Amino acid sequence: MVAATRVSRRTAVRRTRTRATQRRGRPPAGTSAAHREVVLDAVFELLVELFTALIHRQAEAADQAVAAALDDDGGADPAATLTAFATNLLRLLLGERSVALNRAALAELAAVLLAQGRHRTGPIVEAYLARLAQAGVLPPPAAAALAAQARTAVERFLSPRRPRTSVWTSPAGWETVWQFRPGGNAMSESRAPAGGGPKVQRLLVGAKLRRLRTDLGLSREEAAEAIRASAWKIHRLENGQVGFKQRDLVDLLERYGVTDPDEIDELLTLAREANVPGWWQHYGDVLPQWFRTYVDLESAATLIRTYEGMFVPGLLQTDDYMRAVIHGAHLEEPPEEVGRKVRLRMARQILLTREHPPRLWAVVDEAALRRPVGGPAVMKGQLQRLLEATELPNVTLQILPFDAGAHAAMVGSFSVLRFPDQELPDVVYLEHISGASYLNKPDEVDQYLHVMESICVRAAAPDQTVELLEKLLDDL
Amino acid sequence: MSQGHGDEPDPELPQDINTNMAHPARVYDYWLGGKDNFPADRDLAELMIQAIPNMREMAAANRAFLSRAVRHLAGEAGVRQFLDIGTGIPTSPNVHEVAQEAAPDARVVYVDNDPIVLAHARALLTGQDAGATAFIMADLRDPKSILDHPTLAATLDLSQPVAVMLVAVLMYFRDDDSPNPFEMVATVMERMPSGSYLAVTHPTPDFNPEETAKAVAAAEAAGVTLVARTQAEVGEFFTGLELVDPGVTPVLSWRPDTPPADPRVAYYWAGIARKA
Repeated sequence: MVAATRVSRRTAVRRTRTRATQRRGRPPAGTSAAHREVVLDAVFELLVELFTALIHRQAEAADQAVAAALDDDGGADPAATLTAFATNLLRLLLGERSVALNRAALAELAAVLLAQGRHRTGPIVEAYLARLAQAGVLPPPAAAALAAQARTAVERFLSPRRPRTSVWTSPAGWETVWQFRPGGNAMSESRAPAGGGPKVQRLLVGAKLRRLRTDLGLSREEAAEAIRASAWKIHRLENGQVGFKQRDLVDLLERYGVTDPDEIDELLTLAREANVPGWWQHYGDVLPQWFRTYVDLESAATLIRTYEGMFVPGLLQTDDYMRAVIHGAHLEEPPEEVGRKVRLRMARQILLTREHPPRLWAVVDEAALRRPVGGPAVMKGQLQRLLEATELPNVTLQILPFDAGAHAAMVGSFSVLRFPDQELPDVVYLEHISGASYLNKPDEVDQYLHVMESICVRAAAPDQTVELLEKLLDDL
Repeated sequence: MSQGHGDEPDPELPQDINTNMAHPARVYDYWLGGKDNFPADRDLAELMIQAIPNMREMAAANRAFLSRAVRHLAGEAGVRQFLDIGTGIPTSPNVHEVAQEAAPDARVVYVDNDPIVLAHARALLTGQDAGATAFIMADLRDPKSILDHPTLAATLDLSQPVAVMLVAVLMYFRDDDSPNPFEMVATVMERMPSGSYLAVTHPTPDFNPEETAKAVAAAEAAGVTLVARTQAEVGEFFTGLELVDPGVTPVLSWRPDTPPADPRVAYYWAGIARKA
C-alpha cells in the first residue's frame, strides 16, 4: 500500500534532506525567516511608494485648486476669493480620497505625509496671506492668526482619532497594501468583468439566502414576490452581484421563516458591511478588479487549495521567479513597472506567515517545476524556497508527477477557497488572460472539489514531495 | 519521479475516488459541519436527519466521546499508542492532538478505507507529527491488512499496550458478513498485548426504535450498510475483555465532562474495555 512505503520512507527522506541541505551549504533552518524579511521589505517599500504617490496626487490637486482660487492677486474681493479657496480646499481635505488616505495613514509614514502633503500646500496659502497683508487688505496679526488656525485645523485633521494599526497585522491593512497603487495607469491590460467582482460579505449573505431558499424548496420567482421584485433580482442578490436593501433582506428572511433575532441581526450586519464600499475602492485603478476580488477572498479564506499546472503558485514564488514570469508575460514593460508588480505580489505572501494564517494546500504539476523559468539559478532558488515552504505548519505541497499520466485537472489551473463560516460555500477561482471567474454554486464547486480530491489522491504525498524536490534540485 | 511504470497500474497508487456513492466518512463530515462532502453524501446525510432530527448532535456526541476516551486512555490509563480505525475526514481535535496533549510521546496510526480521507490526513501531517503519526489505507473487513501493514509495525510497538478506537464504525457491518464484525474485533484484539484497550461506540434501536429504523432504511436505500445493535449486542464486542467503569452506557453518559440532561437523546452506546 501507498502509506506503507511513504511512511516508512519518511525517516530516510528527512536524513537525505539534511544531507542535501548541508551539501548545498544553506542553513538547515531559519531560511524561512529570511524570506519573511524579504517579504516585509517588499511590503514596506511598497507602502512608502504607494503613499508617496497617492499623497503627491492629492497635493497636486490641492496645489491646482489653491493656485486657481488665489490667482486673482488681490484685485477682486478678497473675502470672495478666500471663501472660494477655503471651499475648494475643504472639499479636497474632506473629500473621500483624503479621508480614505487619512484613515490609511500609518505612524511609520506620517513623515511622508507631512513632507509631501501639508508642507507643500501650506507655503502657498501662507504666501497668499502674506500678499494680502502686504496689500493692506489683512492686518498682519490677523494673517498670522489665520495661518495658525489653518495649521491647527490641518493638524487636527491629520490626527485620526482611532488608533493606528500596523499594516501587516491587520486584515484591513493587508487590503491596504493591495488596494493602493501609485500613478493613474491601469495595472494590467485586463478587463474587469461586467459589474465588478462581488465582495466576500456579499457572497456570504447571498450564499445564505440561497441556502435558506432552496432548503424551503422555493423557486426564485416565489422568493421574488416577497420583495416585489423579479427572479433575476433574487439571482443577482444570491450571487453577490448587487447590494442589499435592509427592507428587502428583512422581508426575505421573514419569507424564509428566519425568526432567530441573532441570526437576523448577523445577516443584517453582514449586509451592511457588504454595502459599505471598502475605503480603498476610491482608488479603483490600483489593481484590476478581478484580481482585487481574489485578494479580498484570499485574505478572508481559512483554506486555500490550489492546482497549478504551469508555474509555481504565486504564494510560494521567489521574487526572482516572479520577475521572470512577469518578464515572460509583458516583454514591453519598463523595469520599474516590473519591480512594482513583483513587490505587490511579494507583499501578498505575508498572508502565509501572518497571525492566524490560512492553510495552503497546493498541488503543482511536475511540468511547472521542470520548466526553467528565469534559468537554472532562479529555479534553484525557487525549488529551495518550496522546500522551505514545506516546513511551514500551514503549508502542504504535493507534486503531481509526470508518471501520474492523464489526470483530472489537465484542463487547467484553479483554486478552491474555503471560508470559516459554515454556511458560506467554497469559491472556485479560475484565472484567464483577460480576467477571472468565480464559481460558488454548489454543483459547480462540487465538480472542482472532486477534481481537487482526485489529484490530491494521485499526487505524491507531502513527504514524497520533499524527496522529489531534492531530486529536482540535484538535476539542475 | 517514478511512481509507476508505463501503462501498468501502480499497485501503490490508491484507486481513484468515487464521489457518486455516499461514503460514511463524508456523511459524517457533513453532520459535523464540514465541507469535504459531495451531493450523494449530503443527500444521505439529510435523509438521515429527516429520520433522526438529532443526527448532527449525535455525530458531535461521538466526536466528543472520542476526545474524552483518548484523554482518559492517554492520561489515567497511561496508554501511549493508538490505533484509530475508521478515522474519517480529519476534524479538530484529532486523536493525535488529544493524545499528544495528554502525553507528548503518544503515537497514533489512523486507518480508513477512503482515499480522500487518506489524502486529507496526510496533508495535515506536519513536521512535528512525523514519525509519531501514520496513516494506513485499509479496510476493517480484512483485519490482517491492517495488522500486517508495515506502517503499523513501523509506528507502533505491539509489545506495548495499544488503544484500539472503533468509534461509530462497527455498524457498517452485518452479522452475516464474513468475517462478521465480532470476528473482526476479536482478530484485532487478539494481536494486541495485555494492557491494551478497546473503545467502541455503536448506534442502537434501544432509545427510539422508530426513528432508528427510518435512518437505517435511508442508509440501506443509498447502498450504505447500517446495523443498529442493542446494548447486549454491543456488549458482545467486549467479550473476553474487562469493561472499564461505567461500562456500556449511552454515549453522552460515558464519563461526561458535564452530566447530560437526557443521555438518551443520542442513540449510541459507548464503552471501553481493557485486555487482561
